Amino acid sequence: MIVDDDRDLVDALCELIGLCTDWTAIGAYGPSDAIAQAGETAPDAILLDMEMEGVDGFDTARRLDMAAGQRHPTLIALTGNDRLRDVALHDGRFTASILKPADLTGLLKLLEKVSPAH
Amino acid sequence: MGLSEFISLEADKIMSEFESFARQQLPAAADMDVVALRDHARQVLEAIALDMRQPQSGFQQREKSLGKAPRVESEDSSPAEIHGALRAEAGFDVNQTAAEYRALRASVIRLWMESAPTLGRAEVIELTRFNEAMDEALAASILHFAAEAARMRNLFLGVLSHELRTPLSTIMASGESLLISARSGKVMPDAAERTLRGARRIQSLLDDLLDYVRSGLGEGMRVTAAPDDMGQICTRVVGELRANHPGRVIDVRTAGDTSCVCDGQRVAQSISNLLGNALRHGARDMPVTVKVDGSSRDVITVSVHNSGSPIPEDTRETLFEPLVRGAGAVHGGYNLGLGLYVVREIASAHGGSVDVQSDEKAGTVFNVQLPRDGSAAAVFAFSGLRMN
Repeated sequence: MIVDDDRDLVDALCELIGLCTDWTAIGAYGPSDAIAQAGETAPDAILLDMEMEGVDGFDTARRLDMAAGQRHPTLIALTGNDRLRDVALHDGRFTASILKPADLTGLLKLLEKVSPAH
Repeated sequence: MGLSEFISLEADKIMSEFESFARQQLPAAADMDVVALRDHARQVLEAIALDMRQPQSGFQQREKSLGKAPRVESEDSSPAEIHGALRAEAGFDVNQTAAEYRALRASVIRLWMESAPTLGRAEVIELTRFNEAMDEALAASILHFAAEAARMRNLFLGVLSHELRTPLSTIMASGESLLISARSGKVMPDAAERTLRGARRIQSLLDDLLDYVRSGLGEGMRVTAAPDDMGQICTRVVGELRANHPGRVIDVRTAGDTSCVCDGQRVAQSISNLLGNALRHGARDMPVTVKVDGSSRDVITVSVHNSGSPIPEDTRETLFEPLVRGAGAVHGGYNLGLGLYVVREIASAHGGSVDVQSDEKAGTVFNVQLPRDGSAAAVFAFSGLRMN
């Protein structure tokens, strides 16, 4: 699941992941949308924008994890702020932290590592 | 009466004299409320009067004249330091910040001389100490002004690069998709549209940045007013944005006489900024509405409305500031504020104004009011020669 309040970025990343991986990518355009969808679909991995409409990304991460229930999704932080990238990197919740613009090769490598099922 | 005693006793009189001087001389001070202006000047003055009463040896005086006076170790910043940082925040330039001290010094000395003091050796020493303390405060203020300005600039650059990174991500991801699909002969118009939208977003950020830099250099926003039609300007802008945002509904409504005298390009830029915000932050499934109200004789009003969650109360006050403390800390779209800053600059260059109303129920509406006849914009009317 790709979560960002910038629709174009969500759509672009979903499309790209659909084109060059076996993952099924779904998009969420804001924190509440993401939490609702996480409850329904229990995604394996979530790429989460850390700065959506004034909502704290770490709090959203916690709520997403709760919403997904027993299947704790792999959380990857996505941010345009290099300091926040570093903070997320050292936060136990996130497996990885990516600075925008996400480079494709790096992202694909990361996704390969994330789920052996794919 | 000695000078330090005079300062303590006549503080009110000095303050009102200083205030009227500062208001005449300093454009940024005109926006500052009386209390904010007076409070810090009074504290600076009190600190100076206090300093004058401390005994001082010849050695201390020499050290002070060399700028080596020991800084009192304390957790709190001195009034002069606070003054400098606050002025940077309030958008003063370094000349204006220094001019406040000139005003303060002039007010004190003029009023003291008016009180016809006996001028003996003691008074000359006191006057010297007053000037030393004044210079010291000025130096401290300027130092902190510079530090605060640098801090704000860094914060600003950080936010700017952050704002540029999101559309850049969209462009890069869509570019990759286009490349992959081209190899298999597939056509992806959505990806192409997203690429263009992302590029336009970056372009408009850079345009706003350029305007901000220019206005910061004291050139102000230049407008070239000419007869135009606000309804047509809005329809044109909406047409462009509709093309860039397929799937979104943007309505235009006009009422009354929409003819006016304004800088059509600049006004279009400001409507475009407001619409861009409304499309980005408003509810996706609800229309964005532009209303042009020409029913009043002297003023023409353009309102841009979107539904969806309101702008948080605490960010509303600083919404139009290019970057003030706090505004940069809240990340969430409205943070850069350059787009809205430019909207306000364009409105003021026309002698108009902009305001915002935002609540859960009614959504968010930005109202731009411009004088219909463009006379307030006439100051700049001949500054740019246009070949029409």
